[in-house]
Amino acid sequence: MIADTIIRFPHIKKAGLIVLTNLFFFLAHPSPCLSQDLYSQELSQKYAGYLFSSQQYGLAAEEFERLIFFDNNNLLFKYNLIKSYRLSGNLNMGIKRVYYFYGTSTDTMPAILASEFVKLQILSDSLTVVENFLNQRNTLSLEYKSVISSCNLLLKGNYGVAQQMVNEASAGYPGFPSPLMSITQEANRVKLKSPFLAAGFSVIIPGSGKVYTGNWSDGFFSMLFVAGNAWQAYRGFSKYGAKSAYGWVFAGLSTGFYIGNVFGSAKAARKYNKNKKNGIDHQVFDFVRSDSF
Amino acid sequence: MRTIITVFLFFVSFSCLAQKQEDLIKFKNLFAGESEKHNWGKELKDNKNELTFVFSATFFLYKEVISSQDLDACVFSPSCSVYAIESIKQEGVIPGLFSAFDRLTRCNPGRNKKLPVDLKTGKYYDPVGL
Repeated sequence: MIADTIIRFPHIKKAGLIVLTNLFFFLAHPSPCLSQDLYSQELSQKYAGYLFSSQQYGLAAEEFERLIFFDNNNLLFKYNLIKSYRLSGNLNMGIKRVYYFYGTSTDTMPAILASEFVKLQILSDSLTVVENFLNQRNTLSLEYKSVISSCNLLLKGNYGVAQQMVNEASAGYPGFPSPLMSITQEANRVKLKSPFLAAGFSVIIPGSGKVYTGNWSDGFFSMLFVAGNAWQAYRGFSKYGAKSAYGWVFAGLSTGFYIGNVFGSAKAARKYNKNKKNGIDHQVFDFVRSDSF
Repeated sequence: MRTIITVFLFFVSFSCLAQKQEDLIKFKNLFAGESEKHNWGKELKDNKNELTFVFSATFFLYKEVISSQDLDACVFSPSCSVYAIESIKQEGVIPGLFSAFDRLTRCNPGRNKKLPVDLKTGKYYDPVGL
């Protein structure tokens, strides 16, 4: 049937020959052997550098992984890899890779990698790990250690001790980062509220505990709710006697609002302290992320 | 005394007239179709004791019979009734009840504006344990 078609349509035979000739030359041509190797170490290094400088840290980390596959002993590749993981927010992977490179013998870790390691641990809120790492033998400088210790103390809420350490370190090292000094000073200016005092205030005057924590409207409405219900209870009892359901219902409501306000005042003080601490913590995290030390 | 109360209520009522951020979000999809209907019956499950079940049943009846006929007026997300039943279930009956009483006093026009806003409902986000 094909032969019959070729006889009837000779131009198809000619077209087939042209296609076959082109296919032969395409396969026989040496150009595929000369093509550019995009995955060479040199080009991968260039590309990783481009990704890192254009702040595409997640993609840069993948390229640095390839570079470490080429050269496992290159310290710069390792440093850039860990830094890329930190800047892309993949903290756990960064910590995992450090442990993969150095295992538990972190004392032999070069200083630039050790600095990245402690930053990763601080940002992932592993404060005990940081403290243990700083106490054991390592390659970090004393100035760097004092900066990290101060950050660690601020995150733990030991603002007084942090201030003392910052004062000593800034006297010894003229280049001590000034943002950290101002964060420490701000932390020491924060006046935390006592939950017990707030509850005590509300026991004496309903709503005053909320006012103490800065929630004026909540304090006013607590006072209004307790006083209003107590007044209604008083009216019920005085009008219908001690067996008055009216009086007992409002007495129950008033008691509920009163005790609820005492609990709520303590909770409001705790929430106030938590918000203040979160504000300081965010400043410390921003300082660590800023790479200004 | 009546005059003072009337004047006070008159001034308080002004806060109800202003268009708030939550109103805009609430009415954004007004004609888009029926909004998601809550299944309050699930609150009847997972009760630690009989007393909690009584509160859950009361909550269910309130939501199905009373609250369903009323406007969504609470300034917080979750609403005060949901907060109450969640705090009773999580903290226990007595501490949960006191937390609910405290929440009712906090649900006022001069509420704490430092609270985060729930983008889904446009209300102040204040769950149990925040």
